[in-house]
Amino acid sequence: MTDNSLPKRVPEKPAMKLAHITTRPPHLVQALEALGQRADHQEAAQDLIDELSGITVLVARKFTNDRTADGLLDAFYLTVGCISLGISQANIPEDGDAQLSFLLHHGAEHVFQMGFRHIKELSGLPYTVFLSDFDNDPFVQQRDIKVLFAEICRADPISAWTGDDVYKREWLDRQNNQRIVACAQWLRKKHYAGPVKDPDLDAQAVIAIAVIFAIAGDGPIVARVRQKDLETLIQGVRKTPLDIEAGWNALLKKVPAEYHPILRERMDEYRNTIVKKILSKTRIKTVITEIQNSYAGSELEVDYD
Amino acid sequence: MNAKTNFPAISRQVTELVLSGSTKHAEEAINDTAEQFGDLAVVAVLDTLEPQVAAMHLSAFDGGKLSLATLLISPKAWAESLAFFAATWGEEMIEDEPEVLTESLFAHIHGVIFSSDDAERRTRLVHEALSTDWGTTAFAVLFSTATQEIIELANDIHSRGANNSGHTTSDHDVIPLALEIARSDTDAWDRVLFEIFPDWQPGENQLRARSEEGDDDEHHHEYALARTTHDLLLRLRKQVPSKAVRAPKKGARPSLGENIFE
Repeated sequence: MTDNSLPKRVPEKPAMKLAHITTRPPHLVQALEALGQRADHQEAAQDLIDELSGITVLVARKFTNDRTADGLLDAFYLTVGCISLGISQANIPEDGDAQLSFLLHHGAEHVFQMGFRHIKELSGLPYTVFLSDFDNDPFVQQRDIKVLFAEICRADPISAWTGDDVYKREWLDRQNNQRIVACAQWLRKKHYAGPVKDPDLDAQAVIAIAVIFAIAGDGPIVARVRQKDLETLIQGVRKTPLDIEAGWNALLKKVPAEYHPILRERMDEYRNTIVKKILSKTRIKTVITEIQNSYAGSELEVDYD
Repeated sequence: MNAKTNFPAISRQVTELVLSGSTKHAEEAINDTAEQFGDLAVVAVLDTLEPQVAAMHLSAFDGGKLSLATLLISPKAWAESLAFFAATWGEEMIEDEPEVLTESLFAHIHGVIFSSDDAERRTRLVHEALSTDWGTTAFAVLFSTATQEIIELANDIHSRGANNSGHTTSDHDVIPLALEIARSDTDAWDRVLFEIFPDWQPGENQLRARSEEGDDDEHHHEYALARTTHDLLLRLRKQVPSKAVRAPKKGARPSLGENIFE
């Protein structure tokens, strides 16, 4: 029988335009490759292998299972990724030798610790702009750290790793959430009827309410409303012609500058949508329903009377 | 004085007695502890024993002899100690008298698991033991003595579910143990099956015992052949943790330990 099962050689296509994708192995692997190039690397390699296996066991004990081969393998991937994350965020040139020097200077354990601290910091930032009491539960916090750790730090040394990019993206997202939450919390603190104290927070809704109520002119900051307040507002603004921009500028003047971009973004969004509807002849009930559903969300107090 | 302060002393005493080969006296010390401080104190003492010491002590008691230690040891500590059960096995013993070793392993595991009527404890024992590689191998050793029956049972469980199975199959000694696993922890049951039949691809091939003549290459793809008891005993022996691994590294930098997560 002739063996024709050999893979056929794929003819190389001449200079096909490809999307620009850079794939690279985890940073730890790059550093280790650099170590292989160094003369007289025996001792450093031995120290590293001791440290790395020690870390792997600790990770297995805490997160996977140190009593099965599978658990140890998982922990091994997590160790590679977490150290790579530590290296990637350290502001050193993207170059194996520099990464290696960094690793050897600090020791694998400390670099792992840096990586893990990044994960913990990231986990401390809000995942959404909707906070609940639940988020303060230590058990939930631990679980969130574990989830992020597994998501970002799983790196197979023989394939490409993008955990550092995932981390950066997630960091920016959450920073953004953090600003929105901070803005909403500031508005809540300045609420005209005294600070709103509620462990649950729908930050978008708080901002929406403040922006919508500011159209009525220079008045107190409103962070939480009842349906009746909405009705009063709509009836009021329909009666007398008013300068919306002046009202908004008055609001901006009261709010710290760091929150301005967030509020402005919201104003631009509302100017031709919900604000138009508020001022139009649309039935008040319809407008209120829309505000309830799409803007004020859970920051609208339910009227029982 | 807080009774707790006595435990390290008792642990040390038990350890010394076990290591000097006097399991009887060690067991007496454990009985005294139970009488003086209650069962929970015994659990605490057993938890603080080195796993190899616990293994030595427990292996002196099996189905025939009752021991407070086998009744009270925490599932986790037992699972750890199982790693050392095969520590004393030599290669010749595995070669010459696999039945003796298997029998002692069976007596031990069966003794610990069925020593109590507490179903919850049995479940936890099974779960902890089978979340270790060595524990999985140890159970596989036992089941490999009745591969045919295990295959029958596995197929039965696959088609009818663990709770409806087992009534008609053989009365081999290991069947109740197998059922205990399959009923309380399906993942664990799968792990043991994979340990016995490493080539098993569920839905793809059938489980099969290795026949005496050795038909290894025939039907190679249709069947997942079982590991032999001998193979499994060797595997278990190889998993005994060695001292070399535990030797502290001599690196200049002091280890952060658990602090790497801080």
